[in-house]
Amino acid sequence: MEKLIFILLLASPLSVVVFHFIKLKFNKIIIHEGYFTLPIIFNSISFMMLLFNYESLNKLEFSYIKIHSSLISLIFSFNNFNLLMCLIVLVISICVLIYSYKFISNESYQRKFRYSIFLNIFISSMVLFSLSDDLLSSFIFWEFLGLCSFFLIAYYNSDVKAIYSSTMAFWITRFGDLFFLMGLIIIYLGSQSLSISSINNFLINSNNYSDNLALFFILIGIFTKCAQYPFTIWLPRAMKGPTPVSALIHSATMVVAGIFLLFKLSSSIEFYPFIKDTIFYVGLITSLICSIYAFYENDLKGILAYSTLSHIGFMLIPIGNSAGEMGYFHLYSHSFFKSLLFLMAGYLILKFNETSINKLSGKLSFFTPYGIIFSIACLSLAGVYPLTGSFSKEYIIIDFINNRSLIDSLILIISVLFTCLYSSKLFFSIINFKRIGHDIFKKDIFYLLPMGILAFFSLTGFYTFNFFKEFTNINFKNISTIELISLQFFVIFFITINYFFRDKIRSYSEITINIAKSFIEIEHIYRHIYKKIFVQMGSFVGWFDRNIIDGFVNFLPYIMVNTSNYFQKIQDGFIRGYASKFLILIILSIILFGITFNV
Amino acid sequence: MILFFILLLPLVSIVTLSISKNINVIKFNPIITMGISLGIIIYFIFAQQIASNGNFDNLYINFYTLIPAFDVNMSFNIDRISILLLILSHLTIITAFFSTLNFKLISDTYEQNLIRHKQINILISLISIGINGLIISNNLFVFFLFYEIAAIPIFLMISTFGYNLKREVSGPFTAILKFFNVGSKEYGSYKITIYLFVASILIFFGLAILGISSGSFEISNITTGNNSVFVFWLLLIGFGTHSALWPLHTWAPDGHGTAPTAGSIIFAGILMKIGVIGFIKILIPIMNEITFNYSNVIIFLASVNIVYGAFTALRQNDLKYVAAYASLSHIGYIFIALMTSNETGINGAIFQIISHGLIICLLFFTVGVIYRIKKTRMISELSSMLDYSPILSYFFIFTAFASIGFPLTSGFVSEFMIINGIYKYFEFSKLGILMISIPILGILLTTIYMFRVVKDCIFTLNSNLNEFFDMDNYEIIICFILCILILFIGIYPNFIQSILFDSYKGLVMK
Repeated sequence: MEKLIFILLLASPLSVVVFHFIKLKFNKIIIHEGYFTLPIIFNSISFMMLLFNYESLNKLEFSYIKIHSSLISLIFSFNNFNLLMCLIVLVISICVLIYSYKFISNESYQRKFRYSIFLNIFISSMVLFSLSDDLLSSFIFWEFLGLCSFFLIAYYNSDVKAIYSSTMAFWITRFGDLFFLMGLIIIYLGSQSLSISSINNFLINSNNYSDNLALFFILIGIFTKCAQYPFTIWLPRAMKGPTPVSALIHSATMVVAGIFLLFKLSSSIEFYPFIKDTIFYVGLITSLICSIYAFYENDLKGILAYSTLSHIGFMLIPIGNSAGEMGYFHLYSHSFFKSLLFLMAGYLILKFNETSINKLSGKLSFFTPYGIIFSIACLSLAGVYPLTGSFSKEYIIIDFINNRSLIDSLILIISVLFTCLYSSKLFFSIINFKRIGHDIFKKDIFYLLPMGILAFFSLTGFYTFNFFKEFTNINFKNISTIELISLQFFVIFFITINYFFRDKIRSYSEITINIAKSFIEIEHIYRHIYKKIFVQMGSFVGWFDRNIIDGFVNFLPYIMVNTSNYFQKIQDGFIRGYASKFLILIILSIILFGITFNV
Repeated sequence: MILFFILLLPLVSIVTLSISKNINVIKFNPIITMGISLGIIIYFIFAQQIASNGNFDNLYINFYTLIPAFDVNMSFNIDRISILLLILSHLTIITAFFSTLNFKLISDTYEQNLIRHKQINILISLISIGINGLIISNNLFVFFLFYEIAAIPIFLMISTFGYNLKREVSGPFTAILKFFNVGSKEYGSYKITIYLFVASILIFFGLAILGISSGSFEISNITTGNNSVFVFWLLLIGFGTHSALWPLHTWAPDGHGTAPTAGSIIFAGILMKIGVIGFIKILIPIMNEITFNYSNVIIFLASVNIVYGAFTALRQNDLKYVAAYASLSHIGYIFIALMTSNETGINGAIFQIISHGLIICLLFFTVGVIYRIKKTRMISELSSMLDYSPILSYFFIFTAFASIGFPLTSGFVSEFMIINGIYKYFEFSKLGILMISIPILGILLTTIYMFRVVKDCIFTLNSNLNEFFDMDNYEIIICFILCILILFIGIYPNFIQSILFDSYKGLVMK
């Protein structure tokens, strides 16, 4: 059974390749949409098998490589945490695949192949990443996520900015991945095994310099992949890619993969205060700055990107606060409404061909299915009570306020405030309540079905919460009614405030945007590093190589050739010249003879 | 015994080539010959059950004795490492033969084409004899003999079939560079030949002193470690020049740049490894103590190689120069790994030899195809290959990923093992963390320069171009085979590890 799931996961990208090959050979026989049908079927089957048979699945081990005379195996385990992550990934992937089927139907088959193959490789490697139970296989599929992200961001390669963004994203994430690799190697020499449980045991027992450093390196890897603070810039730039890709990769799965890994390591991180504090403060700073910045952003996908960043910050905060399961829970609930918002944004951009929310304002009527779905997603993002987004956020906030100092709590409250502000801004600027433009939105099953599935999960907060609790056997502390009501009052108060005094809020908090801007807009620093360090160093070393080393090498034969040319002039071909030179030579040799023998 | 026919098979092929008058025979005969030879080696691996058990030690044969007084024999020895090197050299040579199928033709007449094909295939076959003999030699004299057989055809190959580059010169030595007509194929061929023959003189003296002072030229008989520092430096400089160890590397970029595709493939794939083979066969086993005394020097030079080659490749405009400096950078990993003196590091070195050979073959092959189709190798002149030549682009991107050590390719396996080996060598210390950051920096720089090429040449769309062109079937076949092998080593490294078994024991510090 386990192996069948593996084969299905590998078969879906392979089926795309086979289909493409058949398409090239027998052009007219098969319709274009075959790029998505088989992967959807395969992924659905593996989803069903995981959902209904998870109790009978066993651990899988593949021996991979021998290092320091012990064999490293790639371990894939089907425990509840891994399975839940797997299910989230598969639900969103199937939705995105159905959506993409329509979304790119006008492209040429070469481009369709490129889109479909990398999307399917992404899904397979993400599922395998969630199932993997050791650091090496995590690292392997972690790298594959970066590969697919690289190709999919650069999908619209007529746009130079898209190519630039994809390359920058790849360089930055690769930089982090190499730190991850270093940390992994340093840990391995100590623990002699790479499975998560034995690493946790090892890290708990030995707490020395190199372990701290290794964890810190792994943390850098996670921060780059999750686009946390100093590395934030690549994620907003990655929005140049197709929107379904952003929904799957840059909001719900790849960028939160690091959170999942940290959650698995959270039992040992407990014992490393420095690492814990780093996670906590990086999460706090990112969530604050990015939520402020999202409020001032006017690009639809830009708002969603910065909102994703701030929500990943929210997920990091509980991990740095000894409550890893809450971070995981927030990952779970966030993935539904954020991917839904992205799919909705993709639909709007496709319909109106506009990305700025000023130009999209009032375009979507509330009384269409799309309008209702969009409202659900926005309110879930803001954290309005019975919706999914509110549950995880409440737990995080209340746990935080009870355990941390006043200033930290204040920062968190401000970032939650701005989350409410930007989600209400999104809601009120795009939705109208007047039944205008009703007829533009045809009911298209390929858009409505995936968005409907995700909207169901975003709407039914109690159901998803209970599913999470039953599946993972985590006991959450109960929240008292007063805390709940006060928090909801806070959220709804700011949503309504924003509806009435939007421009005033903007002008009053002009100073915060400047601060956030100075933090966020650090792309020029990256460019500076690239130009000053890499390019200039490369030019210098190249010059040094061509001129100094190679010049020296050429200099020796040059001297030899020149000297021989000089001595060649002695043979001028005239008898009198030879005679005179002969005479001079004889006189010289006589003199020399006389001097040496003192005649 | 059957394995020693691999030295005679290319000779048969040379004879057939020189009498044949059919162009298809000339094109495919050497490929088939090398294929048979490769088949023999693979049969040998399975017949002797080398991969599955540890019984096989080595296979020694002595054909005849030349000078009894100094124990100079025509003797060969095949052990576990040399089998892997033989497979690599065969694959390299086969790739080189494939690259000549679409050879750039000067004249239109059938006879002229025939002769040119004949010439280059005979030269490649000669090099293959030299390389294979060198890999399995067990005598210092035989080693040197086959070394010279491999080195001479290079000059003919570049000066007859090479390319003239337009290289801009500037700096303090401008007059000199102009004087030598830098970038022409004559310059490249003279430079590479002078370099390699200076190296060969040093190696000759080193090997002669080594053999005469110990009274035997048989590698397996020289047991008493010769501790002459002078001989060590002779051999280090000689082998270092051949493997392009910094600062003796400047022949490599010019040689690669001016050589034909087949020449570049052979240089980077296997000829640059002659120095490494010298380390594995002679320096480390025979002069163990003194080599490890100087291990810091070698590690320093190799680290410079890694960083220096990568930084230089960052700003090159010619794809072949990028590939040449990339291979310079990757050779550095092998030298660091050989000095680590533990199982993981040494296995990593062998893995890196094979993986670098395969990857660089693929890289030079794809660059050759780009040149064949586009008539240019300049990064600034290439664009939009992903849309107009998709298969070629996917192969090139695959190579880029393999060379940055992407997981499930052979590059990852070797780099992972090497970094583990280095960290083990420095045992937990802070210096160890500093030392593993050098290969990591190398990989990061590789990412930057490879993906600069991918960004500019492959993704960037130039709407002025709209001609659809791609590789032909033979090119796809050989690229596909190389890709499969790279993936096979990356996914199932256990196979090669089980072939290597415990051969690292001969290469550790005694």
